[in-house]
Amino acid sequence: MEELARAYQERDRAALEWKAQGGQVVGCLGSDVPEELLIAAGLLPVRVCGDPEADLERADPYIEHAFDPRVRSQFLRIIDGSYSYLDHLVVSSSSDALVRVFYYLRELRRTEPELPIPDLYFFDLLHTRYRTSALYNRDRARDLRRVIEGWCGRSITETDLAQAIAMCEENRRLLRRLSELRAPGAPRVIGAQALEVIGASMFLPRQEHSRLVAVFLEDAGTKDPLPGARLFVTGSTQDHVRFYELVESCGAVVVGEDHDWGARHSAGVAEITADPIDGVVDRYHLREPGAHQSTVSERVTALLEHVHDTDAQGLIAFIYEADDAPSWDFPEQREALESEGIPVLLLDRQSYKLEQTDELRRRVDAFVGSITRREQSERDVGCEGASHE
Amino acid sequence: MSEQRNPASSKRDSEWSGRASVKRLRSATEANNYQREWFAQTRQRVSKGEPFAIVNADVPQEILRTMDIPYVVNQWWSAVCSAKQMSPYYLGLLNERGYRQDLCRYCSLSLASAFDPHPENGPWGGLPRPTLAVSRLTCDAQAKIFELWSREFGIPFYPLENTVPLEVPERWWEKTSWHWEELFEPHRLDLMVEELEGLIRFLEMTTGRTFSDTRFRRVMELINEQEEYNKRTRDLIAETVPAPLSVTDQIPSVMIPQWHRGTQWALDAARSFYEEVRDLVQCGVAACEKERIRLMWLGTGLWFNLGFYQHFEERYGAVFVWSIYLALAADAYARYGGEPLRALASRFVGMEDMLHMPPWNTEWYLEEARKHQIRGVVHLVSNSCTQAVQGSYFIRRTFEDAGIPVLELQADTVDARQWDDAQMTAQLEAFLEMRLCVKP
Repeated sequence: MEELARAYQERDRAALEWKAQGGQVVGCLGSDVPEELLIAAGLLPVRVCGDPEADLERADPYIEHAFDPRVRSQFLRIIDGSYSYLDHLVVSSSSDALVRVFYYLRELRRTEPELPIPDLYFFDLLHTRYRTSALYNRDRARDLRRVIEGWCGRSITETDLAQAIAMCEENRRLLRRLSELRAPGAPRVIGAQALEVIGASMFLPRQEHSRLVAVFLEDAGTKDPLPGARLFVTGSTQDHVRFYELVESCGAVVVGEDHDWGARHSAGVAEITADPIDGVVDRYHLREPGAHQSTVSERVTALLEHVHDTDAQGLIAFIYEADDAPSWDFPEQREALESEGIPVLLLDRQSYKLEQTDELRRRVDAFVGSITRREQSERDVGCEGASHE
Repeated sequence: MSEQRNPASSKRDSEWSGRASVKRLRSATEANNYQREWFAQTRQRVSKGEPFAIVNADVPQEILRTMDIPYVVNQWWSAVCSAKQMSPYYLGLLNERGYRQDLCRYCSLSLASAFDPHPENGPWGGLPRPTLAVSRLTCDAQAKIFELWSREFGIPFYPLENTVPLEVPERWWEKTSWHWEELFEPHRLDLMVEELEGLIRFLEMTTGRTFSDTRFRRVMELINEQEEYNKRTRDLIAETVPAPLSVTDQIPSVMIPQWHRGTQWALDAARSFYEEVRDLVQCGVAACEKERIRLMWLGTGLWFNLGFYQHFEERYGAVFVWSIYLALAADAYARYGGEPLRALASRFVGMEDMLHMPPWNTEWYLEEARKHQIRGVVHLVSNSCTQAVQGSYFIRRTFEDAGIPVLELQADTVDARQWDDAQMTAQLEAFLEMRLCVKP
């Protein structure tokens, strides 16, 4: 776990080592860049992240407060040179905010070339689950393949592609196994640790990551189930563990989530298709819906399924300020869950840095306490019933 | 509960109420009158069982026009609700359902109005119950808001995708009418044509109406004629000092016919608007006789307070002569040549770029500012909408590099609840006095 945690914390290290060995590194902003194509070309894909410690006011001149603070932080890190080591940066249409960030970055590169913004490309993946969108996406992926071939100066062969797909599928298979160890009923891995394991795959070469995860899983599988209220987290994407650590310090275990830096990262399988690109792109297109590119009912249905699958006892919706998409989902998500007797806690308009932690802890503590008391009283009733029998 | 939600009592709770603009143009008054009459007729048609669509502003409404399916544009209805000072009440209904106050409101106010248990109390007798919904997915909220419409009323929803260009054309406004095939990447047009064909089939099946290609061609021709008048009107206003009219008259005179584009009435209204402006110019009539400075209003209208603009004319001789509404009609709509459905796709495929994305919008805005002899820009920036901020840094830099100061007013376009009239007026007055050196 130490190596995985280190990769998660020192997010540029593996990329810089890769560069030092003469390799090319490509940044991916958004969760819809088909990294299989980059890996097939021998490039290292790394996910662009924010920095909760950064002073976001430095982004103010360029990007408005209508963008959620995580996106503002990602934007700031791109223009302040944190990613100047990238050979290229691919932005995907994973949210409206990222689409606009692409336009902003492209214009800054044109008009303020002194800013250390890497070479840019936009991958326009559509999210409506229609055939027209699927065919459009496949064509865009073929365009991307040609662009990548230009970057690496060679063709991506079918064998390259098949190997890359197999490598990514193996990585996702292991991460799905991790999800099984978080739930149902008897979690053996805490949520904060799971985020680190998953997140490390966004920075390490995938084979290396898979090797480390396999070792981690072997060990984790032997552990005793963890005590505590089992909570599911929805809402904004968490690319750091601060909130999970706070929740788990209140006597709960986060058994699953539906955001891009959690279990959704490994959702969906790339089918083997005549043209391998088709299977890869369909997986990104048709996997479970993300908060920003789906309808409310798609999100409600997916959330209910997750909560059932993970056997969660409660749900926390943790939403950053200005992150509108999950806020549109929330009222119906709450209604659906509460109608099934699953308690829900909304923590909205949150800062990226995680501030006012005393107040947050108080609310989470109270929520966890109510779940624990309910569980205890249900157990008592069960025991009483058994004794009457 | 319904008593608590009474709009009248809600209005009483509020000390401040927005000012309606004073219409000076015959064409603006006529357009408003027509709109009311059309709305009443539409209500009647819908009550008799005809289909009725709620659509977003950037949906190719020409399809519905061709099929004679009445529709209301989401943002237009929001603007009407806001101008009628109903936004606090309606948005309150949305908030009561658990949606937070600072969610995007321009695109959700109409939906909020649909939650009113007494819809007949709404503006103009209230919005009829829609039978179908169409939107383009130009931001994350669109699919969610329109699906909520769909579920609230049990009606079908047809989403149209939004695509992103990799190429940035130069001076797009010079290519839209005749060279639109060069302006947009073919794969973007191909997809939109396919989606429009799907929309036609969807409408044929859900409404039983038919789509006549002959009628569609006529709709497209009428629109081209209409937009040519808008272009002439825009050019006339740009070159005439003092301006014959300001944005308060321009907006209804251009936008109501725009919502009816593809009809003979809309063409006649655009012609009549042009002729009225031409007559004003010939007679030397000005919106503000003491015009001292010309301003540009960037962003959507301040719908709950359209009288806001006129205060600055009266006190400073500062005239808002430009808004997106007439300019976009003039530069972005006409399409000649090619297959008509593809031409229609090209009208909308890049509209998000033209309006909200740098450098598409910034270069056009600057061109327009120069043409209109603009000395200052007021940009309405809403921090609850990523579309509405439209790259404010790039706008500011583009104008200020050209020596044109910019004031950013932070406010929502329809939500009067957070508007501080005194403070906003003071900000704009300070801008006029300090940055533009105009004294009362």
